[in-house]
Amino acid sequence: MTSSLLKPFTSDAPAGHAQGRVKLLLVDDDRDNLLALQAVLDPLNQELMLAASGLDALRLCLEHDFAAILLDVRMPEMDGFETAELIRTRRRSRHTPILFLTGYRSDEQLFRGYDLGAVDFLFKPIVPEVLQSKVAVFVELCRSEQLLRRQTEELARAEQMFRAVLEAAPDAMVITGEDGIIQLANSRTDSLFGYSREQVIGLNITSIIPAWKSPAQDNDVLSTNEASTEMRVEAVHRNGSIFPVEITRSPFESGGGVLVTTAVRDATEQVEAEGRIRRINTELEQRVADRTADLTRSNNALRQFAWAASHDLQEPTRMVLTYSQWLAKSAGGKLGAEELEMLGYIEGNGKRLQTLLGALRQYIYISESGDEQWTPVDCNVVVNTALSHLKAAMTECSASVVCEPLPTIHSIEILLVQLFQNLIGNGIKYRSANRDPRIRVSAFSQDGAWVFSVEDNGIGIEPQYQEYIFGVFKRLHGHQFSGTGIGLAICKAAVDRLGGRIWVESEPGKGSVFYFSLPDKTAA
Amino acid sequence: MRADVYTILLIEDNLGDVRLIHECLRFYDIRYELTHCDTVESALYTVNAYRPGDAHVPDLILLDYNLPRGEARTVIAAAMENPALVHTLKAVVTSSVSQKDRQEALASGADRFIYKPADLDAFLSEVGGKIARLLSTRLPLA
Repeated sequence: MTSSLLKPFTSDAPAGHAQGRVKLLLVDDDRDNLLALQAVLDPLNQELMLAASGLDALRLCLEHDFAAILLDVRMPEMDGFETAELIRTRRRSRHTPILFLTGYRSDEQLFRGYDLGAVDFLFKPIVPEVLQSKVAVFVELCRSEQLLRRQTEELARAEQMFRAVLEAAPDAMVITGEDGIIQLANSRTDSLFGYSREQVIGLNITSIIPAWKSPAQDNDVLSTNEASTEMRVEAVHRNGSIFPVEITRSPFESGGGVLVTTAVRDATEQVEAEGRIRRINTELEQRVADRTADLTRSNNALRQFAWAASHDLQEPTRMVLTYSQWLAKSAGGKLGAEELEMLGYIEGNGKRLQTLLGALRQYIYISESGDEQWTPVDCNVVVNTALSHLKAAMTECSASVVCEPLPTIHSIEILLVQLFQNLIGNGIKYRSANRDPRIRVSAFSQDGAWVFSVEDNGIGIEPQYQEYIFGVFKRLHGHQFSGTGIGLAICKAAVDRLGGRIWVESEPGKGSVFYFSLPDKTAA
Repeated sequence: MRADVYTILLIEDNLGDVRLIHECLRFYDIRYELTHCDTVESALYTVNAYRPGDAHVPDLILLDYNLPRGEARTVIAAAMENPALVHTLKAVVTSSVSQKDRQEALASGADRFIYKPADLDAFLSEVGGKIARLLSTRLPLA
């Protein structure tokens, strides 16, 4: 028997089967025997490695995992048993099944072989079918082992991933049975509740979250048909302190029944933030209310002041006026032209003051008149009434007014009369020196509102004054045009009261168009 | 006292108006004897002091409705309550154009509400004319 090392080689099985193949080690010092074994086992289609001595076999065992080792007992230098003994000492091959091939059937050999961990004996001459079927069993065994190992590794990896995910979660994650007993928790749970991991496992979750219920028992959750609804509850720290948390429960089926994952998020900051927002809102509302009350107070005070002024200034004005007239009458003959002129100024300005006070009272009245006078108003009648008040002025300057058909709207008649009277009156008053005043009144419906227009061919208004003119006592002209400067302010007050808007479009020198829109309440 | 002299109690805090009332009465040739109160207190004192049968019970009380603090109504009420003044005419004079003031004044028992215009001539004809018509309905009480 030579100790020449036979190069291990693989049988030429189809490459496609390489994946599921296992390795078998055949050890025999007789090359013919080896080739015979190889020929017998070839049909199993596994990777066969050949060793011609115990030493070669040991060397291969260091480098490969074998499904089984077929070991010839009788070899020179190192026999099969010695080889097996050494194979067993190697960690990698400690559990590799060894089949001894022997020519003798002796009990002594058998005992020694089994002592060394042999799993079987094959007696020469080898019956190919027996060898094949015995080796096939070990091949199968090895494959199952490999599969199991792979599955175990995968499982371990999956669990590692699961734990990594669990640990990385920003929330405390607690897995319980339906009874609430904690089976698994992550480190965030420990830090949030102040327990060590060992203390947490086995605890009932209701001792840290008293309101916890299994989703299956929770009618609220069932009724919303959404198991993972977030809810705000109280949590108890190990030290007894209570803090708000938001929990989300998700039940899942596992082999051992239903488990519930409960994600617990510390809501302390959120609750504080909400509180702050509520406080700020309340403060803001309070401030708005205070400010509104202040404004209402000062508004009322101003209104009272305006009212009192317009009424109480009336008496002294009347006195100035009356006595200047009386003086002129009784002492007129004794006064020179200059003194009479002075008296004239007193009387003239007294009259003007009186007119202004009257206009102011009217403005206040228009701004504050009550709501009880809302009735259906025929605007054609309103314009006729206004025109009848303007008759004298119209005749004086041969003004012509054209009034197109106007709607009947729900409104306050006296305000509308005032409005048309002032606007048409302005058209007459601020007429051009070159032409007779022509005024056109019309109305059109637009976006649920009636827009009325009063168009004149008067002197017009410079663009920069087109807002200004609606203010109280705002006048653009000196004494060439009489007026209190309150006519348009009254118009604006009236339109405001009626819930509308007033504006002007004008080309200086050509004329103005005053528009006011009123909400269309015809349907009512 | 002569039978055609009317006794008038004028309650008015504006001396300018007192002068104008005198002018009105003269303008309408009314013979009169006038007592003037220029405060609410003196007016109440005077009104409450009249007793039935007194020689100087007024034929006409002319009351300025614009007395301070709205006290004119108190004075009218006092005049209405005094039995000595049951035949006395009561007129309220005011420069207020307020419909509300007019209604209140008449509701308190005044016989007339007289508006004081700012124009001198208008004042004489309006105030004087109304006083004259009011007095012409009767002879002096005294």
